[in-house]
Amino acid sequence: MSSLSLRTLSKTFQGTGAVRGVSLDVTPGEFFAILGPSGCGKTTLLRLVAGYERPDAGSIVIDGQDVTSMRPQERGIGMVFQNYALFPHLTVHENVAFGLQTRGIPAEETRERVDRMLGKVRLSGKAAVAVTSLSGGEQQRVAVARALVLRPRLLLFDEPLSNLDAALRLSTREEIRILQREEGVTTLYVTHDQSEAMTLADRIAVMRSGSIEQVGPPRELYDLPASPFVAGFLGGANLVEGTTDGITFVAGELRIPLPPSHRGPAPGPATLAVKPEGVLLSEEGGEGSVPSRVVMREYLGFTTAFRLRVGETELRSVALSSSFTAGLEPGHTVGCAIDWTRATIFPGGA
Amino acid sequence: MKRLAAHGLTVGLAAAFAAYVLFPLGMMMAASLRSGGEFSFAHYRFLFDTGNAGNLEAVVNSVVVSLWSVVLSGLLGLLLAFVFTQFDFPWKSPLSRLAVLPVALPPLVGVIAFLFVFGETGIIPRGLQMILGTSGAPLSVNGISGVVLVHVYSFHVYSFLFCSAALRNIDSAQLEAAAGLGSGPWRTFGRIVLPELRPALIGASALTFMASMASFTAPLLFAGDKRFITLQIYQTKLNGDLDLAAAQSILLTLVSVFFYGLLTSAFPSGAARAGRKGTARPGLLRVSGGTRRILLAIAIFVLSLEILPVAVILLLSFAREGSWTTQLVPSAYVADNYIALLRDPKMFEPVMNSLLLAGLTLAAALAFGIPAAFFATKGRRGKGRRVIQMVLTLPYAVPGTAIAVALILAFNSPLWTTGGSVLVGTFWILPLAYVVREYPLVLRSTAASLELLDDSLLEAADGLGASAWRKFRTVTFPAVLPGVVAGGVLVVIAALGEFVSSVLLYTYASRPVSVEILAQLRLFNIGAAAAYAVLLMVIILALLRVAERISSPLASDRGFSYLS
Repeated sequence: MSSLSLRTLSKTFQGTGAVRGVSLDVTPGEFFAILGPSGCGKTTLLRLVAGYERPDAGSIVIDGQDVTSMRPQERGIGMVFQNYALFPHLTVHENVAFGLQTRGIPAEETRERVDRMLGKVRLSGKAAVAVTSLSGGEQQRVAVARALVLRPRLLLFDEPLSNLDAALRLSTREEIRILQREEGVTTLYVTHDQSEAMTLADRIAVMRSGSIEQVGPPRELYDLPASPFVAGFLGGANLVEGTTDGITFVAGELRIPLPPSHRGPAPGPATLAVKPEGVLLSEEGGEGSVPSRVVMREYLGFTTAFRLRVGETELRSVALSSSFTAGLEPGHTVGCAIDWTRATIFPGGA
Repeated sequence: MKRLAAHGLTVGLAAAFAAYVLFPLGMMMAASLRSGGEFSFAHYRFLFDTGNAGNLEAVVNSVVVSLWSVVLSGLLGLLLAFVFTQFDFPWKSPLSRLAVLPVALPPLVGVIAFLFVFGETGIIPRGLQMILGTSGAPLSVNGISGVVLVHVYSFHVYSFLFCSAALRNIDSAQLEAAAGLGSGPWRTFGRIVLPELRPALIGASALTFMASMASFTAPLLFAGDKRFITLQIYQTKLNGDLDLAAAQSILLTLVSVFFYGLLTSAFPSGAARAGRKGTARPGLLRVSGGTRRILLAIAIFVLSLEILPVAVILLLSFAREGSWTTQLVPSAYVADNYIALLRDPKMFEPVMNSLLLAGLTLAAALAFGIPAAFFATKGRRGKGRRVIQMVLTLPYAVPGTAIAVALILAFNSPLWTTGGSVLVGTFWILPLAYVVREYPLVLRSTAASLELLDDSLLEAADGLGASAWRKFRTVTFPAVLPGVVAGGVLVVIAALGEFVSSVLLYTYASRPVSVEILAQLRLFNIGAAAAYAVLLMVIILALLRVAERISSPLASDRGFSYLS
């Protein structure tokens, strides 16, 4: 198992910083996800690690060895591309064997290793089949097998599930996680899908505009976001800009007294980040609640989502479906309170 | 009513196809099987008679030359395509246009331009002779190798265009994956890139083979005493043995059609591709700096050789007649050739003839080709459609020489399909020959546009309550226009420079420019011949420019813009 360290890595394309001074440490055997919206530089970061791009500054260290100036094939890296990049005129077996043959591994050993790997990805029966005739999910597994068969020090994934339909995405996600654990290979996984990152990764780095916003285990990022951006991206939090005097948060007509746990931010502009499940609905006039108007209701089965309006401020709320939520039609007025275990006050604007 | 009109159109198309395409080909077949007025295989026995080796030698020469043309054109086109898609260098865009210049040259113009530069008395052999001080030219292009070189000059554009498109289509992720798996650029080229290029190479090879087999001008001017099947047909016709010419034409046609079948079956439409859902960036192979420099140098050397014939034709068009005898280049330059061409009605007559012929050919090719394209694409589904498309485009696989022989045999007596007159020996046989040979260009490009037209667009228009006319005007017409324009332009270019059929069918009054160029050359009026050639080139380049304006940006994806 190998470790990966990135030191102040930077890459600029035509004057625009795609990756800006990124430093990271991935421990041996870890499943590490890089999460961010499209255009945040996460794929560039991955391509820097793989060696398909050269950094302008900084270094990439695998197992204590500086690989920054090495070519892709010298780094001991396996990569699974977003579109899989399978060779269309080769069979499943030939695709997986390609890297072994390039390295001059004897034919007998190649066959054994390919067969073993195809067994692991449940494609033993399809070794002689043309990759073009496989389903999307099967192609994806061939791509993983092709990368893993070389026993790489590091396995890289570039949004590997984005071409699959929702149901297949869930099952493939599980397979990737199981395979990664079995092989114990250190993994860097790029995605824009927060549920993918949350379910797969031991730790997540949230990226924004080429920089890392926060690194931590999924739960820590969810419960203790370090910035409004992380709160918004990871938990889909409501971000309300306003001001605070350290005791109360004010945004237009919305006035919320802060509980003792959240008091004390410096007086001035502040952002309230509260997750939808932290916006609690109650009968109008309930204790600590402010009146709000229902703008829209979406019945999702187990839960019901609402859009509420308090003065000029719009809030999203999610509650378990009940007879109470069923009675809340658009236009109704409802009491609205904050669950402070699901909310954070950040100094400054969003 | 609508159904009735559709049926009427179908019957009309079928009747025209039968009367002007199938009937002449049938007459040619019948003539080839006739000897002394009776059914006989005598002509074919004669063709394959080892005691009279001339015909066999001609077939062998044609096939050998065609195979060499395929190999060398393929390699050269691939090399240029590789350089233009993989490397960045200054002036890349204008240079890529120069690379396809030979395809815009009428066959005769290309061949005589080549003759002036590389032929026995051409500029380069003369230059070498002067530099080396030898008595004769130390190196010149003639005989079998000369014909091959002319073919490579004209036909490598096919593999250049096809391979360029295929190379641009290769996904960068595939090449990166190969590099990441430890594969070097050469291995990646051999195992990943080349297999992807296979359909393009096969397609270009089949086209090159067909064009080489049908080639008449290059053997006529370069072959010397070597026999070629197209020349044999021409000679046989001049000797008046039309039935033997028919048998020779059938033989040539069969070889051509065989390779045409190979071409159409080697292009599986909508070939399956693995994992091409994401955005594909053009893939680049990471070749070393040294390799890059060598390939670039070769490409630039080849391109300069390509430009040379055109430049020389331009130069010669200003040469005073008689000023180019033993000198390296003509000794005196004047505008006389152009002045004579434009002022003297006798000189200008061939230009008018060619323009008229091109206009008539275009009108008829559109009138037949567009409905035929609708019929071939929207009328039938599945296998039947492919068969119909193949049959309808068949005449394109028949060499021009054979078409001419077939028309002579079919229309040398009065017929009701020709209004009771004999077409042979009249002006009208020429446009008929051009149309029969060229309408498949309109059909194919229009059909290609129609195939791309998503039926759901028409359904959406129906659902939105559009009338049939509105649907045609807003959905079908814009979708088909690029194909129609592309096909139409190719037809006009082919008609303006047509030589192969014309030389068997023309009369003095109807002689087109190409025939006149050859006549001027035979009189050693090199300046006049060159001026005609330049005029043709200018008209063709202007046409391409106009066509690009009309059909861009829709057509630019299909490499059409390359042609200008």
